[in-house]
Amino acid sequence: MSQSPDLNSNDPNANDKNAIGKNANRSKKNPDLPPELFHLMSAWADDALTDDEFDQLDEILKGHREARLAFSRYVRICQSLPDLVVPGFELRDDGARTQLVPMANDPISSDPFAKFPGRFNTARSSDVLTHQKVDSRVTRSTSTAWPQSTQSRSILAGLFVFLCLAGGVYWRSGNSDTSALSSNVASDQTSAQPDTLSNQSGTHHSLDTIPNVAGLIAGGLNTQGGLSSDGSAARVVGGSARPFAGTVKTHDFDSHLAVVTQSNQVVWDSGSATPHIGSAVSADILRLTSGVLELEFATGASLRIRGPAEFALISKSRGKLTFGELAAHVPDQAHGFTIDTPSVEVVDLGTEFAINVERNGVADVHVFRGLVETRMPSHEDAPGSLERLTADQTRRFASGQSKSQLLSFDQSRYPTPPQRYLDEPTTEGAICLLREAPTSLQVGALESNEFILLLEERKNVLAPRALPVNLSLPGRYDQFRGKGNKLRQKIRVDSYLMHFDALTTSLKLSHLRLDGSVTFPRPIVGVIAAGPLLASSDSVFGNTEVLQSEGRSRGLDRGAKGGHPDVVTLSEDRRTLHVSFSVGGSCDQLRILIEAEQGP
Amino acid sequence: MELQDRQELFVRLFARHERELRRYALTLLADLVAVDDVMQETSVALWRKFDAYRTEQPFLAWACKFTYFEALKYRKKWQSQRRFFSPETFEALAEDTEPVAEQHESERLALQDCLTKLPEADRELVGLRYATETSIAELAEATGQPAKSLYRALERIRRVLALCVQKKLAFEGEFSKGHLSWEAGT
Repeated sequence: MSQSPDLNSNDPNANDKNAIGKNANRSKKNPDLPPELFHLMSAWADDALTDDEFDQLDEILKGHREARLAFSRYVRICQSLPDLVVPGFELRDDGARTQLVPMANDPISSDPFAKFPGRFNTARSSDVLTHQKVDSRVTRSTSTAWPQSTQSRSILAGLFVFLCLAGGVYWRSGNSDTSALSSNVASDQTSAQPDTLSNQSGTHHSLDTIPNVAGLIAGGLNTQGGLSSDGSAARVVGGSARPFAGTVKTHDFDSHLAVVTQSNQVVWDSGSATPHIGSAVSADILRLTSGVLELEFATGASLRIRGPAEFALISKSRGKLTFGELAAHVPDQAHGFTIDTPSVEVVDLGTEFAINVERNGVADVHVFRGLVETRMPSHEDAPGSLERLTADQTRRFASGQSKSQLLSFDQSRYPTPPQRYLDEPTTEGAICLLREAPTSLQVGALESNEFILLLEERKNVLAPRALPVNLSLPGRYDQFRGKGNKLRQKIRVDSYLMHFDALTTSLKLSHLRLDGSVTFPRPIVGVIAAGPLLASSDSVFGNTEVLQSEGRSRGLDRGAKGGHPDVVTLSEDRRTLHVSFSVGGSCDQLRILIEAEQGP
Repeated sequence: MELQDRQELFVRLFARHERELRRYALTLLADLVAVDDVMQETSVALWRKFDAYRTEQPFLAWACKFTYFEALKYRKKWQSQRRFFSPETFEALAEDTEPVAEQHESERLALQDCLTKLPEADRELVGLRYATETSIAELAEATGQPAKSLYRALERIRRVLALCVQKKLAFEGEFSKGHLSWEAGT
């Protein structure tokens, strides 16, 4: 171990390093690595490397660029493994000795972390349970648990505290001791976190992503600001405010928050994500130069955004409108949906509302129906305030002012909230109705692990007698290979297509299921679920402008996915179809035929 | 941009890349305890200098310099108490192993695939060791197998995984990254 404090800049390897391109290792054949390298790296990974071996490893890494690349990859692999593996067994301590037992099917007793209260915070088990109890979108099959990186979590907890301090008193006063202070508090926060986490089982945002933490932190900042000056804000913290922690899912960086359900002449600004109809959107920033975009969030809230606008998706129940116009329709189950603006935070309490934010940050809020709560964070020269707006009220909020102003409603300055129409199917769970057809439903075009898409194909088409369908009678189905049924009579139908294309096939995700149901205004006549039947019925019932994959990669008939079959249930009144898809597969499609509306 | 926007942007970027930075630090220092401290300091340093960050530039590359610098500081501070790679190795690693955006994701997918190819018994062992972060000593007691053979089995399995991942990525390099095309397409 050499400990010279000056690092030698005349490194003899520097030249050949630069000569070889950075990615040269990818295309090159595996070069001759020193045979003992893997042994040394392995000993390092198991924390069993002696000092002599450490020096040996150092020598090898010093002399071989390929060895350095291999070491770096080895480190990354070892760090990734905890996120990718699922425990099949657990250690159980019966008092006399520890032993290995297969995990039971009871999610409580099979929690592999329950054994280690000291090392693994209990939040993990409550996370798992939370999913099963509360989150109807994704239910986890038993005997799995996703390990999380406690390290990442602690850094984020630290960040949270740090930013709170930075955004509060210490940053402004330029206190040079901020870092020392924050790391002290951060460690306290970290140790306190498991309790906070396990108390959050009531929240239904359990699959929210890391970027959500940004929202939580931002929310935290606001409420903290409000607290310092306004006694009534205590209610905000204790009451409906979102929890600060408890929703951290460190592995889920790219999980999707919303789906684009409609897009009308949208022109994207540079630097924006550019989702199209049917695309699932992660925590990201959308910048519209013009046009109108409609999003449906996983919580069920739908937004219509009119450009020019800048909108950031933060979590499944939070977004930020930096400028532009927006209208929201928030159904009952999504209450608490929040839109941040530069000057005010608008929390839905069951409603339809619209916001117009000027580029200078002034926000005008109008309520069409129901109730919203507005929260203005405190500033140096103005205390924070909390107001409630009821139907038909319009108010203007500007930073630095303690009160909002009454405003007259100018309809042209706000989009109308997204509507549900009587003749439309209603969806629950992971199913999301697209208001317009996407250009392609080919495998890979619209992937998501969170959303099942549903779109209307054709209206009032004559279905021939003896049309083969896979199911037409109420019941639960998990096999779609057989000949199925035939329609008994000619009938006019409307056709819908359900589409689910999982993002990846993965070990971990094959244990997850995605559930949803759709209720139609009229009874379902038949459901087509087998690939060849889907393909052959395209010409009659399909939307011919939508690109489709070949039949064999479309249906539910491609066999059980490692014991996790897709399940479809048709209700007794034949108006509701419930689906439960295994996330571990690839593209799944169903064509649903419902009775067409009777003409006069 | 307002302070709060900057904060949100920062947290988002940092959350996205924190793991890559952490792995980079771990490669340089080969010491998990050290890495926790270095990452703590890195996050503070990054936020302090965040005003100098322009959104057009790749965050990961920008942040790597900070991680490198904090790792360097850590070495100097603890040089007499802890073991570190030699300065030459440290510098060479710093240069050669700087994380590349997207690399982590493609590597993770490759690893996922490689895991499915392991024999059942091997996968179980990896699951035991990593899903619950159980130490070898604990495992040895629980399974009744000598620690030595567990070490050897894990060495073999990790070697298989490492080579499998490398092969997959090399293959992918030739045929352009198929499964990443979705991200580019949206």
